[in-house]
Amino acid sequence: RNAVAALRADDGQIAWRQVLSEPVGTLLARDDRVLTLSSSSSDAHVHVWDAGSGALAWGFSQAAGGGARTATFVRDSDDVIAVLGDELVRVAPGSNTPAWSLALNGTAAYKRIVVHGKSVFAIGNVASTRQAKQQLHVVEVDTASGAVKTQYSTAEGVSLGGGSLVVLESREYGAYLVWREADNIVWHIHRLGMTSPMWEIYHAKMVEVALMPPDMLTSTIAELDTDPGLNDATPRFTLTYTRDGTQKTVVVEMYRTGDKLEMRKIASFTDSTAVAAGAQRTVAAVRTSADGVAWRVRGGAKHSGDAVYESSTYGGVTHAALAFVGSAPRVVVQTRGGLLAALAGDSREPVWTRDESLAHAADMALLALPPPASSAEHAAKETDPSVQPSAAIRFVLRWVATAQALVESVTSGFGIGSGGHGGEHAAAPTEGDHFGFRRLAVFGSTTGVVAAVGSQDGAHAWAHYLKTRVERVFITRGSQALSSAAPIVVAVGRTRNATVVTALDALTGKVVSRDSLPFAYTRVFELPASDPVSGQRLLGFAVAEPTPRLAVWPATAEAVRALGAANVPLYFELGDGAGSTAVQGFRAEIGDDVAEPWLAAQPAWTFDLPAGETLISTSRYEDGAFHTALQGRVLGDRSVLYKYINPHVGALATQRSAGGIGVYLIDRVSGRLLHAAEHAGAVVSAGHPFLATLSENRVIYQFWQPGVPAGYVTAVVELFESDQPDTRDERTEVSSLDLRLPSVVATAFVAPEAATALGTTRTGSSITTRDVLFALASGKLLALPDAMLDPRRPMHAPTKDEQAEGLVAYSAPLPLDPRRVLSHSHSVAGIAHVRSAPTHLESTSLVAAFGLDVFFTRTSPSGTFDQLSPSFSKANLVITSLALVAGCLLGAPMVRRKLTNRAWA
Amino acid sequence: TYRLRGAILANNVLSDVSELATRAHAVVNGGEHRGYIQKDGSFVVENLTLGDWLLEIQSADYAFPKLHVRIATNDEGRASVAARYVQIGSEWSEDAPVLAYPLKIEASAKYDFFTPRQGFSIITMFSNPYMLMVGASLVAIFIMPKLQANLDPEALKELQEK
Repeated sequence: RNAVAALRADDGQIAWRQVLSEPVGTLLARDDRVLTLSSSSSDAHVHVWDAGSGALAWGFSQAAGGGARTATFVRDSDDVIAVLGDELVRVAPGSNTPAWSLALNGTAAYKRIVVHGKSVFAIGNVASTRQAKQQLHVVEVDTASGAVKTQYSTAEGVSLGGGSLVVLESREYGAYLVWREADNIVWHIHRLGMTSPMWEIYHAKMVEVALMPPDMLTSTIAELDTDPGLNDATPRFTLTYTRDGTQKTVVVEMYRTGDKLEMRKIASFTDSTAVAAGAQRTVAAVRTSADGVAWRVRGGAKHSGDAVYESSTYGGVTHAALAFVGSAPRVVVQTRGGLLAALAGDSREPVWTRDESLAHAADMALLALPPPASSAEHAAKETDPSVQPSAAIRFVLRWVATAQALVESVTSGFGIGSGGHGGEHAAAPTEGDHFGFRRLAVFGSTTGVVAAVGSQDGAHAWAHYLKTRVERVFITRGSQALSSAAPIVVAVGRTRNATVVTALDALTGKVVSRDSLPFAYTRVFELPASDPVSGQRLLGFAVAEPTPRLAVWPATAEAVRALGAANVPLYFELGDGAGSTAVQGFRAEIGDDVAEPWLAAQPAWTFDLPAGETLISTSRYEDGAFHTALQGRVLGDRSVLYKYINPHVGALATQRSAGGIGVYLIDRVSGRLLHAAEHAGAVVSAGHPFLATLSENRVIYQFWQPGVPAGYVTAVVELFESDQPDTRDERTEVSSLDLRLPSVVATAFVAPEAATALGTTRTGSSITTRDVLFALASGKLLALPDAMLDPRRPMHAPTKDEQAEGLVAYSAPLPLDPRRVLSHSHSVAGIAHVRSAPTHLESTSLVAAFGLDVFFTRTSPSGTFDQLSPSFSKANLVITSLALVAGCLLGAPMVRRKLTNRAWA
Repeated sequence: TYRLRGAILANNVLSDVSELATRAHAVVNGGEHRGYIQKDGSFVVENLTLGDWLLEIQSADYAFPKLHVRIATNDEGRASVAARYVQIGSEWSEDAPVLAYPLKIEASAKYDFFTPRQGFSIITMFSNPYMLMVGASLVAIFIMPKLQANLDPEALKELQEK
């Protein structure tokens, strides 16, 4: 990942965060400095950050083929020594050029640097060859000058990071390698820089643990003091072994008496999954048990505690860190699924938790929650559970309940507040509302966690750890009011050669079913049929190997038969991933034979990309995004230009070997080309992604155009049935297989800033205008009205007709209007996906953005025309009505008297 | 390769440049190269080659001018930097004045993300069409009879006869 963050140990809040442009390889904290190493394909970067504020203290970059491998601080100095590519360099703060640099022996991969006194040791693995076994290579270099003092090979048969070797750094005694050869119970100790004798040999009991040889042979050792600043006198390491089926971890400390190097056991833990080093020789170990995590702190005062934790939610603990708040220890643990939790002695609940699995979210589904049922509805349901009350009856029941509530509130004191937005009280994340604003956002993450988060406040409803990386999530059964059938969310994951489909109860996170399907899929999508047994929407998996086919889930004959009964032709594509040169369309054959839970597929079409072009990405409509309320655009002269609406439009972006990109709109059923565009000179790369969003009859895409002037170009392609107004396809049923090419109007704008994702808002009936959503690299979610991205905007001052159509004169730059920033002052970083969903209110659309951060909001592109304004005062309305009634009551006798008087006159 | 140095200066829009440190970056060509901003507002973008570049300060809170940076070598083979302010979506003019190097950039505006809520106002109340209708009917009810009363009885008679 590419983010570095400092969390406050007391509440888990982010103190500061830096998002780097490339993944962070090494992270090292020393005193008030934080060192990161990161590398792109060609460059290696050393960054030293100020630990308090997160500001860059200084940085150094250098072209390095192999990337940045390792780095360390020089003791008593601000300098850093690093292995960048194949060079060992010493860098001083603020310097452009290294103080010295040394080309290293290219045969070893140097992964560790130890600075001791006047020497720097670079240690690397030398891969085994036919002549020699795997061994370590050590280069000793003068710290001040960079001159090589010695270099030699040692520790035959072991490697750095292999579990049988540790590097121990002691300020006083020097730096040592400690290892155990494979199939040997003897410990070797080598003092770095010492070549004669090469090593000392110790008995197996060196670590004060009596072990039988077989247990010794399976033991592993690991470094504990990876930050030597914490304990630089007596470095520690752990030995983990299994005896009688019990896993034990021993913490061993190195010290010296006279000339003799000694090891002593300072703590031992049973079944610990993570051990952390603390200051003042303290160590903490964490164990994940059936229903909680237990932790022990040893060395100095003893502390222990346990906290309630269900490992089924985020997996077992993998890493731990030990900090002290005052004298009380605080153990921060990280789990396999991505949860961070702080544990402290006085509480069985974690002091704080952070769900970092959301930063690895690959997909999200929004579950609509049923509106809260009133007690009257529940009562009606209880008297006759078989009857599902109709919408009209429920409406009447709801009003009866509201009237009762009103009477109650009036009798118990006047409690009608002002404000048009009711129902904003804090509620359980699984409770819905009448407007459809409350959703449950179910995220599937590559760390294997499925987590459900309430859309209103981000509160977690549940989480479940699935052990396999999750790539897609689907709501296969929605929630219904007063229904006993729970909504179901399905997580699709992938193992090496199987597809794992897990169905969970979307309100509780309980696993309903778990299937391992024996194939690797290329794409998964919802099928237009439901499983007759469970009522769930069927899922289709496009499978390329061994033969192209469409696998159906649930993998039952009933499901396949239901799909056959739906009688909808099924098309899917293969070869639409990056790097492909041809996209192939297939038609799934629904036969009578349902012996297998999959459908054979016949090739329907092939779309060969032009020579020298390879596919970058494929975009298609998100669920329902092609819907439109208006079949055409009314022009200023009252004629109509009819929209070309085709849900099967796909946008292919290709990289041209001669430079530039190609964009092709194809019909994904017939494979027919609808529109082609080329952008000579456009660049698509890791730093310049190609982004696209499709909605109604519009395709919007963005790419980088270098040169003078350079900028991000936002191209808009709008498809019409004809270029002549009032000309339309009169057929009531249209097929992709009929020849029906759109007329295209296209133009391009210049985006205000780099974006990382595009999206479009969606509303229930698509009457409301749409906003185009740009997730900007600067951490803003910008919503621009689609009228601004209209390709029909005239290049000249608009004529009367054009004005009547609502067109404004074209201007290339799209403005970054801060009032159109949905995220306001929140910095929403690293957004990879922007999704939108309609609510029950036509004016309002839900918008979710996720990636590194998760952001959820609702927006009204045309204003909240179907809601009372927030300043609307219900109290004023009631008072005015009462005043009118009072006026009538008071006035009536007066008027009556006047009429009587007039009659007498 | 060349490195580009610059600094963000405090002005009356942005008085404390240290707050940019974790909320802004100097970005070249929309993300190809990136410089992190130090506490004193200075930044360095590494690994630039000869040519034309677009330098932006991507900030969560402040708007900054965008710069066209040209790195070229002069006759003596030394690299020089010519930076000019540019507008997004328009030609990069060579006539714009060249900025001093190292670059000094100031924030042009602080983003104001909020539209102030409209308070109660008599004018908006009376510009409401319903209010206008109410006003018109009030005129018809209360003022018209008075006008009629003021009319000359003969003229009234004449009118009624017509």
